[in-house]
Amino acid sequence: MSIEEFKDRNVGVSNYYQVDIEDYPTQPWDKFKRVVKRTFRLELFVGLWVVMREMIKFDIHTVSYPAEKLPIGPRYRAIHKLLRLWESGYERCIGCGLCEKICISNCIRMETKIDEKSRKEVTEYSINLGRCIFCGYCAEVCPELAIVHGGRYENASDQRAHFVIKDDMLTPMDELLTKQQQEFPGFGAVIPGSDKSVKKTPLAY
Amino acid sequence: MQDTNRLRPFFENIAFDRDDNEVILNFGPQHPSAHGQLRLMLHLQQEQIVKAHPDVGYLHRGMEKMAENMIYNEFLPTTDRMDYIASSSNNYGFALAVEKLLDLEVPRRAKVIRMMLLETNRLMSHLFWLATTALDIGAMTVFLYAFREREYLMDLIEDYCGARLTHAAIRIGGVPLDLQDTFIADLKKFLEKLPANIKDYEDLLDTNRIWLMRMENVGVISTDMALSWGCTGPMLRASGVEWDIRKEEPYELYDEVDFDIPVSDKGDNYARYKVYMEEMRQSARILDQLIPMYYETTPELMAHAPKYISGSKLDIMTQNYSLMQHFVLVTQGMRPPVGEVYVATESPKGELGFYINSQGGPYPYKLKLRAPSFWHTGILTDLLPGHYIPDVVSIIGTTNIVFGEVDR
Repeated sequence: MSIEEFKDRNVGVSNYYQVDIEDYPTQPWDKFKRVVKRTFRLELFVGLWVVMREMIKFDIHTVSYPAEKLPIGPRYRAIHKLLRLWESGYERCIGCGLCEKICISNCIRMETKIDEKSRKEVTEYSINLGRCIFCGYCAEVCPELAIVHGGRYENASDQRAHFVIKDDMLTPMDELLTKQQQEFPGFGAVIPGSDKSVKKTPLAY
Repeated sequence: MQDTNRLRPFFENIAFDRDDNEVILNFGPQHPSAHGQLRLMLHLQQEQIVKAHPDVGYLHRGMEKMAENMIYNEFLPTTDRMDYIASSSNNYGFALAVEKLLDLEVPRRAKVIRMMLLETNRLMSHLFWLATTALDIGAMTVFLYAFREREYLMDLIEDYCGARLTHAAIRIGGVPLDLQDTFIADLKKFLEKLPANIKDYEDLLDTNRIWLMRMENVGVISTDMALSWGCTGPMLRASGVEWDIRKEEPYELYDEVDFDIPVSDKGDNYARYKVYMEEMRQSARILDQLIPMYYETTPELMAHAPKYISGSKLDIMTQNYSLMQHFVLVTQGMRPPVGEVYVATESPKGELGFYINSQGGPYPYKLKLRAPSFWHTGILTDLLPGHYIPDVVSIIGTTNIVFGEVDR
C-alpha cells in the first residue's frame, strides 16, 4: 500500500502532529553554515551545567546494600509464607492443591493424608525456589489465604534447586502469639473493608 | 525476486575465503550493544556494510507452543517474558484478546488501573530505550539519569503488584488488586518531576554535536520501506505514517482521554528519538487525566462472569457455589466459546497482536503472537547496507528491539 492510499483512509481523528525538527541542509553552502554554527555553539557547556546542577544538589540515592536495605513494599512477591489461623493457631492450609495445580513452573509439591480424626492433613509442602517465577498465582488462588508471599528476597544458594519446606514457611507459634504474623495485602488478598459486604444469599453461580 | 541486499538462506555455507575484499563480521549475540541476543552477520567492504543478515532465535522459548498446553490464566505470566521492559502491556494484550473472545465487559475502575499501568509501562520502556541508546552512543550521563527516573516507576509498580520487571499485573477480566493508598500520590509526585527530567535529557542530547552526527540522516527508513517491512509504533510514525492503534482503533479508555500522537517524516534516527521523547510527554499527559477518572469509579475490579472468571476472594471464602466454581476454573480452566480472535494493541514498541483460535477447550488451539520487534529486526536487512559499523549500533538502538519479544 502506498502512503497516498493510506492517508486516504476513512478515519475521523487528526490528533497527529509533526515533531519539531529543522530541515537538514542539502546545499553545500548551507551545510557549511551549519558546520560553522555547530562548531561555535556552546551546547557542551549546557550539558556540563546540567550535570553540575545535579551534582551540587547532593540528592544522593546510594544505598550501601548489605549494610542498609531499602524498604520492601507489603505487596512484594518474594519467598512464600504459610500462615496460621489467628484464633486457634492451626495451619490455614487445607491441602486442596489449587496452588500446586495453578503453579506455572510446577515448583510446588505437597503430600497430604487423612489423619485419625479423618481430616486432611498436609504432611509435606515444598517450593523449589530454583524454578519459582514468583508470579503470585499460588497466593491468588488459595481459598484460605494460607500461602502468601513474604518480603524475604535474599535467597542466594549454592545449589540450583533451593527448596523451602513447610517448616521454613509456616509462621512459628511464638510469632503468632505475639501477633507478629502479617496478612498479605498483595495478590489474592481480600479487598480491604469487604467484610461489610458479605452477602448471605448465593450469587448467580 | 530476491532482494540483492539480502542473503539467500543457508548462509552458513558461505565460503569465507573469497577473492574479493569482503569481510564477514559476526556482530553479537554477546555484543553489549546487540540488545540481548541479536546476531548480525555483516558483510563489510572496509567499514561499509554491503549485506546484513540478522539471525534470531537465541532466546527462543516456544511460547506459542507453550500456550497450547496451558490454561488461559496460566499463560498470562508467560507473556511477561516477551517484552520484559514493559511487561504489563503484554499482559494487557493477551487479556484483551481473551476478553474479546469471551465478550466480557471489564469494570471501569479496572480499566482506569489498566490504563495507568499501560502508560507507566510505556514511560518505563521509553526511558529504558533512551538510556540504552544514549549509552550505546556514548552519553553515559543520560543513561544514569533515565534509569533513575525509571526506578521511580518501577518502585511504583512494585508497590502496586509486588514485582519490578515481570509484573503479571493484569488479569483476564480486570485487575487483581486495587491501587495501594500511596499510588496516586507517588504518581503525582513523579509526574511533577517528569517534564523537567525530559527537558534535562533534551538539554543533554538535542543539540549535542556527537549525538546529532550519530543520529541525523543515519538509518533513514522511507515511508514505503516502513510500510512494506511491517513497521509499527514509533518506527512507523517517525517515517511519516500517521498510525497509532490507540487512536485508530481505540481500546480501553483511549477514546476518552485527550492526547496527541507525534509524527515525523524524516525517518532517520533523530526523528525516532524525537518521536520517543514526545511520546513520553503524551504518556504523562494521559496519566494526568487518569487520576481524576480513578476517583469517579466504583470499586469493582473483576468482570462478573461466573462461567469464566473466579469470584472475588470474599465470595470464594463465603459462598459455597463461588468456591466450587473457583475450583473448576483453577483445575480445569475456563472454556471460551469456539471462535478465533485477533486483537492488536499499541505496545510501547509497536503493534502487539494476539491471535487466539479457540476450539472450546480449556487450552487455546492455536495462539499466535505478533510482536513488533520481530519486524523491526527484519528491517535491518534492508536498512544497514550502505551504513558504516558505528551506525549499526545507533540504528539497532533506535529500532528499540527487545529480544524476549523477537524470539518469544
